[in-house]
Amino acid sequence: MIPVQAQTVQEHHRVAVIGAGFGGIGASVRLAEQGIDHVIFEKMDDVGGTWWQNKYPGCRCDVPSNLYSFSFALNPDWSDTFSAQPEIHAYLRKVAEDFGVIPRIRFNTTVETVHWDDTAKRWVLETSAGSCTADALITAHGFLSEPAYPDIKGLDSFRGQVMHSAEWDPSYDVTGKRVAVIGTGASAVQIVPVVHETARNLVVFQRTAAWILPHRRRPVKDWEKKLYRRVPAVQRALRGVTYLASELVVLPALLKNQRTDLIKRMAMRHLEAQVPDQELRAKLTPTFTPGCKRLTPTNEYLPAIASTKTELVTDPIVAVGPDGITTADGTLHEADVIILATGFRVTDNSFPGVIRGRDGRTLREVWDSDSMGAYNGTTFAGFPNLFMLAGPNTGIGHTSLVYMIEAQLPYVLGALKAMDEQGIVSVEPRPAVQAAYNEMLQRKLAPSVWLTGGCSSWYLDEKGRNSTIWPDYTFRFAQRLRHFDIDSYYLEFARSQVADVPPVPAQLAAV
Amino acid sequence: MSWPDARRLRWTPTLRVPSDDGTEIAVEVLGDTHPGPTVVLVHGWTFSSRSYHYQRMLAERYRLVLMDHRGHGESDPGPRDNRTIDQIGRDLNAVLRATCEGRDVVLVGHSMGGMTIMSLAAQHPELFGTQVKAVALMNTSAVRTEDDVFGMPRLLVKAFSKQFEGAMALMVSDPEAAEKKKRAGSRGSLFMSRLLNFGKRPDKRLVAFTEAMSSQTKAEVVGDFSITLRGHDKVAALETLGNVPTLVVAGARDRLLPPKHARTIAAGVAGARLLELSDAGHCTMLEHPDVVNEALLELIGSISQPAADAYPAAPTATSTRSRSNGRKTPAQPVAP
Repeated sequence: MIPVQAQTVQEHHRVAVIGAGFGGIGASVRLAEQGIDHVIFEKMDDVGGTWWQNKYPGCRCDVPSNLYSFSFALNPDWSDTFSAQPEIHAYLRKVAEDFGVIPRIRFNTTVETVHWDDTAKRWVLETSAGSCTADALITAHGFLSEPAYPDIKGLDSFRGQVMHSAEWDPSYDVTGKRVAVIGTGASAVQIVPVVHETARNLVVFQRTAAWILPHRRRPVKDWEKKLYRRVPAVQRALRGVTYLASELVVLPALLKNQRTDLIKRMAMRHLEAQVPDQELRAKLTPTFTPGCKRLTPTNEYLPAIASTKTELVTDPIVAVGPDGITTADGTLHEADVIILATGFRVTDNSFPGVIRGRDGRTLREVWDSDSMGAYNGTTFAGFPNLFMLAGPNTGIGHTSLVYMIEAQLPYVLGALKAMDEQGIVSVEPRPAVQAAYNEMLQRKLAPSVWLTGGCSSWYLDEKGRNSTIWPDYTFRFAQRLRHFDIDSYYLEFARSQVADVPPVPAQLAAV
Repeated sequence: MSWPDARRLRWTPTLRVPSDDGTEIAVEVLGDTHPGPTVVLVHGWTFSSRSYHYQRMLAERYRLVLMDHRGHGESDPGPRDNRTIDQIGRDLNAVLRATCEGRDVVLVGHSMGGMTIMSLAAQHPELFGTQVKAVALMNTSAVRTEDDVFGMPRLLVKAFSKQFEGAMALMVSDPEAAEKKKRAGSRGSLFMSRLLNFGKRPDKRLVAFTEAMSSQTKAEVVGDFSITLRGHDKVAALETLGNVPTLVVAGARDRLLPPKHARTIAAGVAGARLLELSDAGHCTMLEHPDVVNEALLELIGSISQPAADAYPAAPTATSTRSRSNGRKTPAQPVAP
């Protein structure tokens, strides 16, 4: 057991929230509604999480903005049907200000370790600004929060600039530079068209081609904004339509592998229209089923690749030298800057490695011995009073993650309410319930495109299990988490002197 | 999983253990060859060891000892004066001495069986943490309180309580008359069993089973024990239970002992965990055998490794492992 802290007066809160992105802000708004005391730790200097960390040129959400926002704070001012990063960040900032979240946030504070004190029945957080305890812990650390670096020999020896898309240096100007981009995923298709405009030339290194779909993006007209502002119901209705469309059309394709040929045909037509060159087209044609990796809609990527300024390299990268990148065919591709559009550490995020549960093991260690798993995507056996927003198997490939986060909040609040009402000091899911839940998930995922589509993706963990995706309609998830199912939990109570209960001269025999 | 059969309640005990007053207690031992801890199942008022119908399958992995209380099931009735919770605590001790010498024990008690365990804890605190390694208390109470209302509207409670008290009084004062008045298997009797024992929508076969089990218990025994239950207070014993991992199970719709009793126990026993089943009544082990067995396996798993040669591991085996070292209470794996 970890020794109890020295007897100084320690800062204590009912709830500690980690992260001030969509999850943290949403949680804070709901907690404040219920008058629950809480504090938020944020490692960066502003709110926004993923949408503050990622500032690369062209960064934009590929989920319609009407849907990718809080249900309690619709935004009539979106300038585009699919908003860009600065606008999403501004939106989050505004929500945080409007709902009074900002004063509760400790900015520039990294949570270094967290452990469960089983004697005091509370979490102990060690942060870069001192320690703090909390009855319950809500982690909203995000799963697109940690850049993944490719393991390429000699990357350090490169003489020019190396930039990960998530760690973009806005002061760096690519104008007139020779640019190399590694990766062709969701962030690469957004960076490439922007960089292509000003760079001297561009080399894109592709391991697997991605399915590129036509983008329906358009600026929102002024009259639409006016209408949304005057009649919010219209925007809400549109949000509903968008939600249902993605739920009923896209999801069956991904989940049951049904009618993926339609997506394929759409993508192929898009490719044929934008890339006239047969040879290049062959290189850009993916070999796996669409949807297996995240679908990437864009109208600008393929023309940028087809441009004479750009070279698409499909030979694998062997090493990086001081002057550029060497591929397997022996060619040295000279560059002034290497852009790593290599995505995030999703299934191997380091944050679970700092949370120690009841038995002293970290969440990462537990996951490594079993596999990544939670109960209802939120709670964990062996980790009392821990609630993870956007936890394992809450991700989706077809709709807004904000919906999933909002679906989790009533569950967390339900747990906190039950604890308050009954004097419960800890709730912890029963291991058998958690195991059964994860079996159910894997059974549903088995026929899905993520497991049968013939690709490797960030949806899968190192054991090949899909530990990121919710394999059903998202409203089913919301339904499941509408109420806190106390039956599935072990409860602990505050120690009390029960001798206070008067032994009563009974009139009833009851057993 | 087959339904418990209301027509087959009689059984032949493996052992008859004489208690300290000479009354013979009927005992059944299952899975005798399993190494590891023995799970001792103690039933509740008017029931018998048959009430653990669904827990018998734990014998696939563990050695089980089931006992009938004096006057219940196949045990001797014993002298009337000795029908007390303190005495059945001594009976339990006698059963442990006769069947579990030199073995680790997990005590499981339902309702009055839970009180029996508290009674043992009060009489022999030294056993808890030494021989007794874990305790599960289902639908039980540490102390009687005044405001038990049978989950009914206040107005009804008064009338119902009067009837109930009258019936108990008759059982004590004129057992034979009470016995004659008893209409085993009648609609009224089934209704009472349904009302007092179950939560939401129980299966008829379960109701028929508990009714048959209760009807089989002599009116005199039921009446005598009702007196001792009335004065039950074993709050002081809860301290002792804190020495071992303790699982408390409650049914949110329990009319006889509502979950506040379980919460009182959970708050009084250090490190106790409560499992509250929202649609269960007074017989959680019959109403939700899967959940209760999982929880029992997790509890037993926390103090031992399941026998290596036991039945092929069910899915719960993987999950019990994650908990195995998770208790702060002494929880050394036992070498098989």
